Amino acid sequence: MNGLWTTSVGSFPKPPELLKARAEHAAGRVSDEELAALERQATETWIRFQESIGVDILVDGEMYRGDMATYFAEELAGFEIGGLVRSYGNRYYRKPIAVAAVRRTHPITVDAWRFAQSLTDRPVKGMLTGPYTIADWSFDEHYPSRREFVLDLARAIHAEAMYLAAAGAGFIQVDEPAASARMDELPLVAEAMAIVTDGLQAHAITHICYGDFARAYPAMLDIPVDQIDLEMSNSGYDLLERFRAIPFTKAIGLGVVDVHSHRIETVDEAVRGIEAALEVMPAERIFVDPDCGLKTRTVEEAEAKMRVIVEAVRRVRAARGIGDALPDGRPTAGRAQGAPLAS
Amino acid sequence: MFATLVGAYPRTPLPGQPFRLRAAYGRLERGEIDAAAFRAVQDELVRELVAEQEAAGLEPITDGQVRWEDAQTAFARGLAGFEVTGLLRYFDTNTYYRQPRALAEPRWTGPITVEDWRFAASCTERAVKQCVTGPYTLARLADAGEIGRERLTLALAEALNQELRALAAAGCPLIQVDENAATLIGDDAAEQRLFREAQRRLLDGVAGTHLSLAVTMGDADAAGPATFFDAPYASYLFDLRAGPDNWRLIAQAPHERGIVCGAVDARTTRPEEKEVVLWAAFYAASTQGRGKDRVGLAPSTGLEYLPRDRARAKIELLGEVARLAMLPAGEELAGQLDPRALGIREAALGRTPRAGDDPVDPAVAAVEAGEEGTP
Repeated sequence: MNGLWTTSVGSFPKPPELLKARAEHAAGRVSDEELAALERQATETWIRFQESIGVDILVDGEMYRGDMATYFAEELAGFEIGGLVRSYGNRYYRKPIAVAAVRRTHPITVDAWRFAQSLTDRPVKGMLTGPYTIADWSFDEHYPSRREFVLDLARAIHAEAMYLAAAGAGFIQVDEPAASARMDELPLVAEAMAIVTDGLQAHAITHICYGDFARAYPAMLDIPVDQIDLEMSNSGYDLLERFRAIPFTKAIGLGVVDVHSHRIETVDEAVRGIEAALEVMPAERIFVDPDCGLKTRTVEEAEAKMRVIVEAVRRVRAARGIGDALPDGRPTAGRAQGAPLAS
Repeated sequence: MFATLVGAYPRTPLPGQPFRLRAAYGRLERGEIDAAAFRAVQDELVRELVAEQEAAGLEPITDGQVRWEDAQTAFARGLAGFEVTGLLRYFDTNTYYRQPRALAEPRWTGPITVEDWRFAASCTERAVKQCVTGPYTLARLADAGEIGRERLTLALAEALNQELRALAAAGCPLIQVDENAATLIGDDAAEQRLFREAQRRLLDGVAGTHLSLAVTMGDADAAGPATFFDAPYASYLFDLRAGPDNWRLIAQAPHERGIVCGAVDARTTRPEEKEVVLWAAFYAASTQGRGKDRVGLAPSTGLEYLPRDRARAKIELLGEVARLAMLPAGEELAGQLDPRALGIREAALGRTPRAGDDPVDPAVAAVEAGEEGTP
């Protein structure tokens, strides 16, 4: 049996020289070409790091993105970028404003994915922000209803996902961290994701975090993806207990390190999280990763947390005889609404 | 009629202005400045925000809660008995708070907000209110651990009672208790009892100040009027955008209680219609014969969810509508509103009737008066 594949949720911290260059670029003192060269250099550094420690499914680390929703809004027609708002503590982001019908006018992430994939033989995930989250994290001054806003965005993100798949991405993650905020809108999340994943020949993942999982479960299983990536360590793996009563019918992305803590978890702690998951799910449906993107950590902290994950998986695989052959990155029978996967 | 913030205001700069607070926080994190220097930057921001509220015509004023990491942590760190843990989403927003975890029954060991209130009050001649996150909300959003939520709620009520007493003793003229988790009570009788008992213990013996209860982030109507109006609050602020059913509570609020209408949407950049906000003020004034003097206007919740320039536009509108609301009904008021808000004829014409306009046809007048109908 193969399983317990290691991966990341998406973002890694930008090295200080890139952060500085982004600020200088915003001030007009660094050219587009100079910034792009630094972004490619940082991407390659993260790809080499992931390969060197033995991560199974890689990410490009999103060296070219700021906020995950604002990045897509900047690239889609119909948005303008508003002023800063606070996210938490002393963290801020520019919140987009939909001022006209939202449309995709050009590929957004495909070139960055192609570049990252060209650096490695291991699979690199295509990384998209989901339509519900882009809508929820934007102001809307155009649409008569949230549903119309979300579904227009779904059509735009679907086009981007299809381009990624056509370029060769076998794993495509559509992040929907806002999905667990409003239980009454989970059907809208699922409706929009059905548009995004319609005809998509790739293993489709969604990432959800920092919400009321207890209330969102099991309704979240209706989201038509192959895998749901969940922040579990931050919430003490509470949701695993629910899986005993109502089985988790998809593959899971199991967050085993907290991305908002400077503390580096011990390998034993991560092993305990993985072992707890194995009590309710088979290894071939578990992907092990951090709770969320690691971009808020320092480079050293992010690297240390990734090493913990890889070492923890190595120990559990060795102890249980689980192989590390990579999954094929194709749609599963479980993508359809609520359909159980074979265990 | 008055206009006020719910409490929070963007700590971000206006367009084109330097973000001094964020820069200072970075320097604090890197050890380049000390806590006193960081506090001085916060002080400067509070002065700026107080002036911005004054210019918009707001009173009472707040300090924008710009010193708070978030509304839970500010009190969890100030009381003994908590540790602060991981991030959680605040209701259905894209703003996050660190969840307090109760390690023991919380204890009040000294004033938490008094110095901040004193500083804000020193910046203005106008009344400054102090917000305090209520015990029900603090407990509901915390990890109660082995203590259990009921015990934690009541212990918090007793601990925060001392904070309210300290604020009153310091001369704070208006204390607003923020209980956004009241939107989660619903028709659960045990939760309703717990909320009422917490408010009883919280307010016990607090005198010499105006006590107000604020409920935003949704509908609290299902909890029933007694849940809120049994407590001796002098006024109530309700979110009327995320919680339109809160109008039912306002309609049942005893006439001597003040009502602050959270009528301006704090979570969208869409421009507001001042006619709608004015209508809300007038309707609240009409309920139970309350009168305009017992009604105020506010955003639907804290304005920190908006960019600073959009938030400023919202408070400028609030100040303008509060001023309009005190004009005598008639041409002066009508001249400052969209004429379509004034009647069917004006709506049809898209303007205010003026001398020389065609006289109203009696048949149209009858329609407008509701005199026509089926035989």
